[in-house]
Amino acid sequence: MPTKVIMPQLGESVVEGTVSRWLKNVGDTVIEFEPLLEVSTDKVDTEIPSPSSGTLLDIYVQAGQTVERGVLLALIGDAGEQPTSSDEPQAVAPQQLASAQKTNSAAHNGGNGTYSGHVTPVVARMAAEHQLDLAKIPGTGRDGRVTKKDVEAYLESRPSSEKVEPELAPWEKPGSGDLFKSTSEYGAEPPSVATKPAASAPQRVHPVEPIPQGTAGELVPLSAMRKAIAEHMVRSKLQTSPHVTTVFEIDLTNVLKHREANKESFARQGINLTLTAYFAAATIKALQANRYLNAQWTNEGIYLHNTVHLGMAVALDDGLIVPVIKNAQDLNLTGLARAINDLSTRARAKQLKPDEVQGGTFTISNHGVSGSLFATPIINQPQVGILGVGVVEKRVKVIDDMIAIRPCVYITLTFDHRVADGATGDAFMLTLKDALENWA
Amino acid sequence: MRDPNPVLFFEPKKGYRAIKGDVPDSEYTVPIGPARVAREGRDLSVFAYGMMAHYTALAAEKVAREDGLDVEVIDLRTLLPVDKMTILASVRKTGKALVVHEDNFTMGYGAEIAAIIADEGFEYLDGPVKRLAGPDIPAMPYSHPMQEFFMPNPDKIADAMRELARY
Repeated sequence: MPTKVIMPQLGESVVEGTVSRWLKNVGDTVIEFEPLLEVSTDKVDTEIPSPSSGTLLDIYVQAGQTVERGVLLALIGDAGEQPTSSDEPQAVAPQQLASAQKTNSAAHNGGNGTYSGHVTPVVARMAAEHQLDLAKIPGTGRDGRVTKKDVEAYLESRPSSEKVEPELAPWEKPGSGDLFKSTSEYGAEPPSVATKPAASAPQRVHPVEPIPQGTAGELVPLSAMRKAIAEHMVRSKLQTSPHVTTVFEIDLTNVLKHREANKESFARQGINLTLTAYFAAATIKALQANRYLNAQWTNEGIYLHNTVHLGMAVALDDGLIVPVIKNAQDLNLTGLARAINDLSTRARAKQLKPDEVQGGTFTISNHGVSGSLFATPIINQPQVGILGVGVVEKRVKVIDDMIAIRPCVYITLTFDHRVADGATGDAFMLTLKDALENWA
Repeated sequence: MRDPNPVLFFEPKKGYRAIKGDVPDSEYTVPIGPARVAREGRDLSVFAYGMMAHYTALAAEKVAREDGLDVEVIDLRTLLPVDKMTILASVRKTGKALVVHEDNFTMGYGAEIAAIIADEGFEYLDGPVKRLAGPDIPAMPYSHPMQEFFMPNPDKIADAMRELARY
């Protein structure tokens, strides 16, 4: 029997995935646990290992198609094996079947030929394996129960017409219909269809943007991540939150001193002590003092979170991803540094689990690493705020009427004006500034 | 006893002169550990040891003669460590299990075998795991009629086999 490759559930509340790339072609030999295909979900790309060794017999879901979890993606079996092959027993003439059943029922007078509805584990398993309708099998057990032997006898004598086309369970068949349509097909819908919203069709967020004609250029196909980012950004900035940004300049003298003093001991524990860990620690402190920024807008009211799940934006070659440090309020600087190291390494290696990019309550974007002085990032919905950290550089400062050279950074807070006002945002930033400037 | 560790060997007195059979002419040993398939069958499996294994074999012949039932009899032989492989292989084949032991029903050794089958053989079961044992009264009565009442015997075992086969 060929082994089925099924779209796995890639995390809690992740119900579908897009096949981004097949790493093997039909006819290729695969080894168990060898990467077989790449699947992308809302934000994460991941490799699916082969469930068994053998030859890739058939692929049912092509790259680019989005299907629900549990859908059959491919079959793996022995070379030359037919994907539809079955190892069912030889056919027996229907007349023989009828007589066999009669003698069977006669021998056991407890059997009345009707299915009592009670199924034992072994019968349930056999029925599932062979896709049998138990109601069709005459039961000879107590109260007409279908016994293991009844199933065996039925399989032996099943008319050939019944076993040619067994009713396949939904996960046995490649998906079809609107749900299984490739997401790329949505963008390609002709304008006439897109502008005339059908009552049953879900409304698409993106308007149809035509490919420019008459200019030289090239078309880069949209990756699942690019589509997700585009959709999310439009939704956040244009449809959901009125964004407002406040900018603070923060002196990092004490933070850099502390980092210099502790870098070695962290390195001995295998941790790269980055400035991001300090920004994270200060942010958590500020969020706990200003709970409206660790919150979520709802129609009933503002929901204040008790815990901080801190998102850290990580730039990738082809997009960006925001892994989340869960319960960040419980972590000290060491724990935060370790978590940041781990998540950013795995984010770049595309080894994050979908659960690890969900459930954030606040996000930090460290665009300073690419040289940005300051920026106004877009809020990661449904969060209330996002912190933007600029580049750290030495600047000339006036302190006590004297000119000093200090390492400084511009930090911005962009927040949802529905939830918080300028004073709330500034109060948050003052807590943050105080924590960083007086770091000990 | 060719084992470096202490071994408890139970010898049912009732078996003296009651069990007759051929033994090999030359020296032979019975391994500690593996169970013995005393009789192969397809309809149901019965697990027993000592005197009850002997009675079960007799009962299996009886139901084969009278009812056409094909019962597999497993003589456990070693109680600890018990031969799970043989037990589960037999359950996988027949789908039905009966455990016979000569003791009170409650907290008897048979419960252990029943638990192993329910735990590790669940998916192969085509009926409840049944036990046949003495009633829950102080064992063992001295009076012969009371002993008969207490102890499982080939007739009682044959009845239990028929009932499980009908399930």
